[in-house]
Amino acid sequence: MIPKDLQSVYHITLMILAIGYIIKSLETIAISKTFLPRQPNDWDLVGMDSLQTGKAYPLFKTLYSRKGVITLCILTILISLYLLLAPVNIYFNLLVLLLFVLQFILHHRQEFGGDGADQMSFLVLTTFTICFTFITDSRVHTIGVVFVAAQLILSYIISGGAKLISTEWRNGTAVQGILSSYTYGTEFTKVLFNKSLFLSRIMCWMVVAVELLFPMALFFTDTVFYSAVIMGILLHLSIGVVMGLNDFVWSFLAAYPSLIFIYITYIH
Amino acid sequence: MVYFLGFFFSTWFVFTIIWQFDPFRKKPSIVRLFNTFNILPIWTFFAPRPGMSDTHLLYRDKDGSGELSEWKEIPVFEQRKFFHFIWNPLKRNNKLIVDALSQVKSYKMIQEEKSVDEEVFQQHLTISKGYLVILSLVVSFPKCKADSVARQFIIADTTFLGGKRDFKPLLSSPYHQL
Repeated sequence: MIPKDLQSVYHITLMILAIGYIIKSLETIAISKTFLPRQPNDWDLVGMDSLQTGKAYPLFKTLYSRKGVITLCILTILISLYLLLAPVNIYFNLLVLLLFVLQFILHHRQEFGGDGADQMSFLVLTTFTICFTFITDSRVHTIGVVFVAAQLILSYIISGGAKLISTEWRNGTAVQGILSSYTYGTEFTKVLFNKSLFLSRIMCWMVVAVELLFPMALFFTDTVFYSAVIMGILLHLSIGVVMGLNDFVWSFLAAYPSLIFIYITYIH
Repeated sequence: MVYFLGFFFSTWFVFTIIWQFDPFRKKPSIVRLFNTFNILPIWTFFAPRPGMSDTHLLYRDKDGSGELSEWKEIPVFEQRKFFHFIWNPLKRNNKLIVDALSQVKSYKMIQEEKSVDEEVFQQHLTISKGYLVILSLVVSFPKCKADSVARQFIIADTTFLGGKRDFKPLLSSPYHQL
């Protein structure tokens, strides 16, 4: 799906986000017992240092109870299903705004225990809600698309740069250590990378190279650019498969239509 | 409108860069104010210190006569399954526990670095969010004995590097009434 104009960037991005939000909402409902009082996800615990003071407390308490979170998730699923199937029109835009409001409420609750995938999908949704739902000026649409593409590139540069200054990433033990843990690895990756530090070192440097060189691909040929796009997508897919971080696939994929559009329109 | 939004998104982008540096996240500043609604992402993913260890949570109970039970391990992490690529709800609980544990670990590091008195440290630690999240998880498990009255837990890290497993105990809690 290559976006041809700003409206199709908006449409494709929202469709990808919708898939991610359906999965995330179903996952949240599946673990909703932990949102009960005195459980680890109880709002009185995870929100104890949050903006819940004074008269607003009962509202937060209701919204962030187990029933409240399940209701917000069901609404998110229904809206996301509509966004997946419907064309862009006034109703589509209204529902994008409503989805943003729901995610704004849930994002605040998940500040503690959230991850980079939550941040990327919320960033893209916020940007597109501001720039596309009720503004028809194509210059504002462009600002939103440029911002999302720039954040995607920035995420790779910062991630690659932080790895480059890390001793564990440079000496090759990072991949071995991460993929030997129960948290992020499997029995297969534990055996594989503990047999060969050399393989782990290659993987470490490949990740650093892909992340740091990714932005350069914008300034070469189509083949180089689309190869980099495929490499980037494969990186997120492999993180999903090997490390079980499935929501990174959808949240980062949602930023790619903006990047592809910027390349086709302004750089190509 | 165009200029206003241009300025807003430029600010957001610049603040995102600044937010990657630890000191700016700790000190009160305009960047922290901008992030009131958690809109500034951290893009450093597994760097510069990659999470290479597994954290283990163990607990034991004390009964009315002061007798202790055996240690029991809480299964914090689920073994990877092929379908986790599509469906992995427990990772959300895992991340919550990881964040709670890393907050407790960072408190412990500060105590060691600044030689904070043990009693003062325990007082601060036991009312911290990370500690209370872990405690709520620990006490949600059934009693080891029918007459258990209190529970203690320990946090330990293990790493598996070069075919060798290392075990490092991090923290031992006081007894909490059940």
